[in-house]
Amino acid sequence: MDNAFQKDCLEILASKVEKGEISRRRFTQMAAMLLAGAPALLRSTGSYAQAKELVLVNWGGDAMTAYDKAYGQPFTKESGVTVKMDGSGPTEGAITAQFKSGKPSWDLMDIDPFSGISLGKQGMLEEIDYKTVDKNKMRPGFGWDHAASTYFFSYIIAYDSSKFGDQAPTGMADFFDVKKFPGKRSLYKWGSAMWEAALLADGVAPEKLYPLDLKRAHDKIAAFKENVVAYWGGGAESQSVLMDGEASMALIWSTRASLLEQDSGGNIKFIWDQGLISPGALGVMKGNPGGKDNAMKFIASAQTPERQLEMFNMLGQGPANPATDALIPADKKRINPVDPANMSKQVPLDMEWYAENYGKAFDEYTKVISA
Amino acid sequence: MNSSRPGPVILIVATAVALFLLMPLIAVIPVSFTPARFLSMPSGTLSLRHYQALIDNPAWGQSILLSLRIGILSSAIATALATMFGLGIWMFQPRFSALLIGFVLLPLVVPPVVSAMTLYFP
Amino acid sequence: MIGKTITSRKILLLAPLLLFLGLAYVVPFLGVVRWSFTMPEVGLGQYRALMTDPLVQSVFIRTLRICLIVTAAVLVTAYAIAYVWVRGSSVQRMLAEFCILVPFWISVLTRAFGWLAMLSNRGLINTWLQSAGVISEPLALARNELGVIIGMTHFLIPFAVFPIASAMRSIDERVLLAARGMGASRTRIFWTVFVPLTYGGLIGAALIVFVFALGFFVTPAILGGGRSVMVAELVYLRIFQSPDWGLGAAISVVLVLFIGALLALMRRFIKPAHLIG
Repeated sequence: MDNAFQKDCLEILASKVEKGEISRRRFTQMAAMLLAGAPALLRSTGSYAQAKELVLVNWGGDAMTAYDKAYGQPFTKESGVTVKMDGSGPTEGAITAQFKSGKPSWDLMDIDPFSGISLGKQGMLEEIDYKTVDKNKMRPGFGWDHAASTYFFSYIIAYDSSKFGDQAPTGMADFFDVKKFPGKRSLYKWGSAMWEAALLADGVAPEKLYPLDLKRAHDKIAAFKENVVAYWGGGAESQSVLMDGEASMALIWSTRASLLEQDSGGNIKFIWDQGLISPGALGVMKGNPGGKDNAMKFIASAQTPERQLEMFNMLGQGPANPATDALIPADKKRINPVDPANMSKQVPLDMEWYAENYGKAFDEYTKVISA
Repeated sequence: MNSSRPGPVILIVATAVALFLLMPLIAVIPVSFTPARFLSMPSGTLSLRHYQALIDNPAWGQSILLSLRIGILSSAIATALATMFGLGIWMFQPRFSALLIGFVLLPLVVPPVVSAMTLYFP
Repeated sequence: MIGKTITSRKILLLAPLLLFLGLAYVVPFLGVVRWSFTMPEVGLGQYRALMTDPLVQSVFIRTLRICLIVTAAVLVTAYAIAYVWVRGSSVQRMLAEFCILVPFWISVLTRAFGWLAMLSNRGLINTWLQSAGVISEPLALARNELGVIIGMTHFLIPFAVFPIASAMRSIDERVLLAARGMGASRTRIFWTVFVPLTYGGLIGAALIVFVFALGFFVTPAILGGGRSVMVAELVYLRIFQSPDWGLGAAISVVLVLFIGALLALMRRFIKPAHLIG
């Protein structure tokens, strides 16, 4: 599905590193994403892991710098194992291709946990060794057999406050209510969290969401279709839809929402209420060249709160280890998707459900929105 | 030649088409001078910040160089192969030249995404 | 002896490109064809799915519809500017050439974003129209099928101009003079003599535009507001996002066969030269 989120973090990092180039970033990001076919030949020049070496595959560009600085270098210092970053993008398709080649060159991959679950079931990923990786350093319910939780982001409501006077939305019901909150909306092109949003708006209680009633969700979305101006496919696009005034409200990634707030001078606001929390994870390639043990040790080292804090500062992702929360300065706590105050207002996506149903659900969603 | 100089109707249509062709380029140029971080029309003030970034960030220089290198290399190879092929067809008029030409034009008509898949996976 | 040298020279000249394409293109494509019959299991399952899957069908139908509209729009516009390019005064010819070639050289991505800047709610067109008082609410020009059609038409005009212009250039001036000598009006000459003489170029242009349009990917993704999924994007989704290589491969095979059949069908109307101008 998305992977788009991971890619998006690169953009955010880039904009933090050198303020002032979202639009240009957007070109490259779209380029990378849309023309993914064209540079395919270039990608095959990926790194090959040697002994005493791990290859971590993420979504390219500047995320390589972030992972390297926060996780890679400290790990090398304490273990002597070099960590090479490879930004070629571990889509499920690419992981499958790697695995089927019989001689994978990748060790660790930044993946959606539900991809981890389904790839794990197909025998393409090593089981996470929870003797080395500490489950106590994860939020309860976010450690999977084949994927270890490393960060969080949320799908939340962001809105153009200039359009609503002194009213503010308080949840998904308001998002789907164009009488009370006039204007167009924008939804996520790849479906995730949109079903949950529709069901919450339709009055389903958060704890009764799963298994999702897809029929009901799609009916709700289909009936709402004429109010949707665009289905954004990447973070920059979600940002421009609100910035250009094309939508008065959108369901977007929390990392983008806080950027939008800055860019618009506070005009665009966001709420955590009924936000949908989505975890990100690391998976280990079955029979990885750098050895399972080292890969597990790396994951364990990435649980260190200080290192996760570094990632939060650079990318705005919520830390996987709850102990990190306390290290976040008070003024930044507000934008941490898993800060206790924010988390209590939100609902986590059920990765088991996604592993089982995402493909079919996304097909159906595409049908509904494109019809 | 002057027996069929473009008449007024076709000139009007052609002018409209010409404007249509130039339109997105007209839009791109002002956007590049926006002072904002995001894709937008500059309102009032202009800024060279994005050009500055183009120079300051080594990533852009590197990717431009890489593009140039790949562009030069691939056009050299393509030109060499195609010239030889063209010469061969022209000099010898082989029996199935139409078929051969059709075959080498294949990549032109196959959708790029199919080509990409073809090159990436197997 | 001489015959042998010619054969070996012939092979020497023709073989490299054929070999290159064979190895780098045809062989891997056969791999894709194999997938379509073997993934996830051996058989015709993916083709059956393709015939019955309403998503695939609606995408195919939408793609065909968009391609037909775009082809028609491109032919009309390209014809007008090609005419000026071929038969205009020297200044007109220069201006036409400039307008045809400059966009042609600019990347598809830049052009798509240019159109977005032009057509979006706070884009130039809506801003102008609003400040001129023509409209009060911005028109929905981008992030829908209309935006996709505008962007694709823009991209494809030059590809149609070349074959049409080459057909126009090869018209024998004396035929036009003869028509004039017999007292036909300019309009009459244009419609009954000039245009029919360019049918070859028009058909070639229609074909190349239609075939290119079928594979469009970037423009629909940027200007379609995430909605107008065309068949190329569907292949991309199946291959890279939700790995369903069998179906992606089957769609690709069908697409290539369709294009092949179309070209074969139109073979007698076109010369390769007309395809590329």
